[in-house]
Amino acid sequence: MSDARKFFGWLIALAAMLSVARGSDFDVANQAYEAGKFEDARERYEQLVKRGEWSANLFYNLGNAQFRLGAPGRAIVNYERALALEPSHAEAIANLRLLREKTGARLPAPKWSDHVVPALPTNVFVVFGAIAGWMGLAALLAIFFIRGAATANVWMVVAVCVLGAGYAAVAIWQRSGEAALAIVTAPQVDARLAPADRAGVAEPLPAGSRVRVLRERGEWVYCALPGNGLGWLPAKAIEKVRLSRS
Amino acid sequence: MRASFFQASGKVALIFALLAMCVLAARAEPAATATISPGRISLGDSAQLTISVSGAGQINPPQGVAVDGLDIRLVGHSQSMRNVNGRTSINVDLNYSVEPRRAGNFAIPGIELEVDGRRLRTQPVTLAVQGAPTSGAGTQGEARVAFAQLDLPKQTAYVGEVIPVELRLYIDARYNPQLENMPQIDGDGFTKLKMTQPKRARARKDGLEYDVFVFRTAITPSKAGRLTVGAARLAFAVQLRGSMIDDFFNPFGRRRAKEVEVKTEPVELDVQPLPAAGRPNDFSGAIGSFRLTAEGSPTRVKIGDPVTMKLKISGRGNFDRVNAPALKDPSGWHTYPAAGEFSNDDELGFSGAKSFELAVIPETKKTAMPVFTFSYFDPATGKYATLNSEPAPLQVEGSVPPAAPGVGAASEFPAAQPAKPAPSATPAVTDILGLRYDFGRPHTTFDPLHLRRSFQLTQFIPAAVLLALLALRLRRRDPAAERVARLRREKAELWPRLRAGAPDAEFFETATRLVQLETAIRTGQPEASIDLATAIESRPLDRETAAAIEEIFNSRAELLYAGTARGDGAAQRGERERLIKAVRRFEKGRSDV
Repeated sequence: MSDARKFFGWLIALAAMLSVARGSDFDVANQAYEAGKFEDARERYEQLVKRGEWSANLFYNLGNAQFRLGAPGRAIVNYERALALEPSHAEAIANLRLLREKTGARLPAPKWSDHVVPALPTNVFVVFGAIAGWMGLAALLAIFFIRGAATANVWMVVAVCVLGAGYAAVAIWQRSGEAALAIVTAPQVDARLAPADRAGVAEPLPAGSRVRVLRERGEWVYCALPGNGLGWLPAKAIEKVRLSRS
Repeated sequence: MRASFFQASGKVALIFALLAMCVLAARAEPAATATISPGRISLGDSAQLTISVSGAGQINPPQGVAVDGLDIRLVGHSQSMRNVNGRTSINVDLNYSVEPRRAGNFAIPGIELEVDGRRLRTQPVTLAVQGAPTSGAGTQGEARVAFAQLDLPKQTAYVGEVIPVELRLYIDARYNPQLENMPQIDGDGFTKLKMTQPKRARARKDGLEYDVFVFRTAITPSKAGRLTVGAARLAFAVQLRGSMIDDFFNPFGRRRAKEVEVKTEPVELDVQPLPAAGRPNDFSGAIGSFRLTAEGSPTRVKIGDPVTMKLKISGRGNFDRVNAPALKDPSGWHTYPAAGEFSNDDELGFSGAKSFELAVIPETKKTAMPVFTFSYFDPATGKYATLNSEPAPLQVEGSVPPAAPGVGAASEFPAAQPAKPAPSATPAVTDILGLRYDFGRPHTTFDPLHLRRSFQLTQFIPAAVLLALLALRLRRRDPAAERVARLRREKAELWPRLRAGAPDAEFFETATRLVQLETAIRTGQPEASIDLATAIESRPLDRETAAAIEEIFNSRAELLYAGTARGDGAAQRGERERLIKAVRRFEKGRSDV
């Protein structure tokens, strides 16, 4: 018993130390930013990102540092990351809107599902859909166990749960394309009809434009473009919004 | 076939007819003249040579005439009688078909024939036979059915320049061409557009009528040097007609189909590279002759409001290389990329107009629309040209907000021009919001919840709960259902015994038990407590069935308590059948069993 207590005590202490270290690095980066040392701040923020210690505020601050360094495309991609983690991050929303206006970033036209699904985190729909689905299933089973007039009410519960789960499924499906979302980080890049520098231009894209990665081939990436077309972009000209541990 | 017919029967008939007429008609001085029609034919056609003999008596015409290059054969005759001043004379026309074997000018010498024992000679006639060249060069080896010409509007061009090409195909108007293929232009060092569908016209050339088919395409040289365009080739079929006489005797016969291949002479083209000197920075590769017009609306805006510019580049040239015009002076303007739309004036897209629509946003006070420039290479002058749009008046209201500190670091944005701030104007947001000093809630992944293993594993919990509830429900016993099942099993065992011919006591005991079991299943009452009244009231019964059930119950009671026997064996069997049917009706709840 005493060994277990010691083990958990060590774990708590380790977590506290990690938290303090992370907070310390984050604070140092913020101080560098405040001192006008944007390059230093950017490096420190990026070190935290590489260590996998992510938060919406970290990406937001990194976006600010990129903006100060004259890289609006990279700033936009970090604001997008902040919003991917916390869709209601108010400062990221405001800065993103401002930078899009400044760069003339091109965005895909909204789809019908964008008007149906509110701007809530995807996880909200996942939890809601799971609860509604299981409740509906339980109610469906109950119908076979309950006799008499009570089944009418249970059928009503089943119908409501199916509708709720279906709505959540639509919302999750609508967000499923976000895994391939990428942002143009180069100041200005031409999407081309073929993976070659001299190929015809499919669509010129300013920094911050949203594209969806369909296929990667060497130094070129095949993307769905904001103008509903398809084209090839240099891989180094874009960055995916969602990072992976690998 | 037809020639033998004339030789065999025609000749005999001619001689007899002439003899008969000679008796009736007065003799005139005979004379013979020769005519040929038409005097100019094409190789493959035939002409008709007619020898008219006036004052003819007995004629011994030659069957053929030997002329090198011509095949002349007697094919028939016609005759007429004239009466002039009381003198009757007979005219005979001898018809010969003339089919050329080669092109050229032929002199058919005077033809000698014997009329009434006298030898007459016609005057010589000439026939011109034309051979059709297979190409514009005038090759003589093929009949003059068709020829073609490949026309380029110029002999010198530049790399990348679009050059319209016209291919004219001439086909003798007397033939019926069947064009099933499109012409092919040989050569390399240039790209070519798809050939258009031909336009048909009628033209006269060298005294002959031709159907003219005009194909159009365009080529674009891809390298400098001397290029050879063509030859262009086209194969097609024509329907050749026979002579008039052939058509007369074979009006419904099939015409002769002839495959013809037409080939043009190649055309030389001297291609030069685009000059490097004087090439504008915004030159996109457009070569041709263009005009630029620009319209902007609205003409009165506030700073930050967009002005929609409609730019139009029209003319002739390679419109695929025409890009949107660029701002001549972008300072104080913010622009968005323009989308272009091309409308062609011809089938090839060589001439037309390309329109662009883009939004420009004044970021400072302006008095005129922005000037757009477009550069191209003019092959007519051999120089680059730059077009500027006319700056229309524009009124921009409002003021420029002051630049926030730190914005200058974002060097990729267009620099805003300083302007006097207007107190009434709402300052626009030009700088980003500041840092967040709290780290916030840490995240380990960008993946949504449903893609994480932990969430997927937790879904086993409600699944397990539901499965457990289902299993419990299935395992729970239902006494009522079990009782009904037991009663039905017993019924199934009793029915064979009822029909087995058992003694009366056993028969009535079994029948009574069946009625009790059926009533117990229906009412839920214990089967042992079911009496006659309960059984009859358990369901609607007709009178006969009710009486039979009552009889079963009473007979069982009599046998059980008084030991009374019922009738003999035969009558007993009939009674039993009636009672069994009544039990069956009772079981079914119907009276029609």
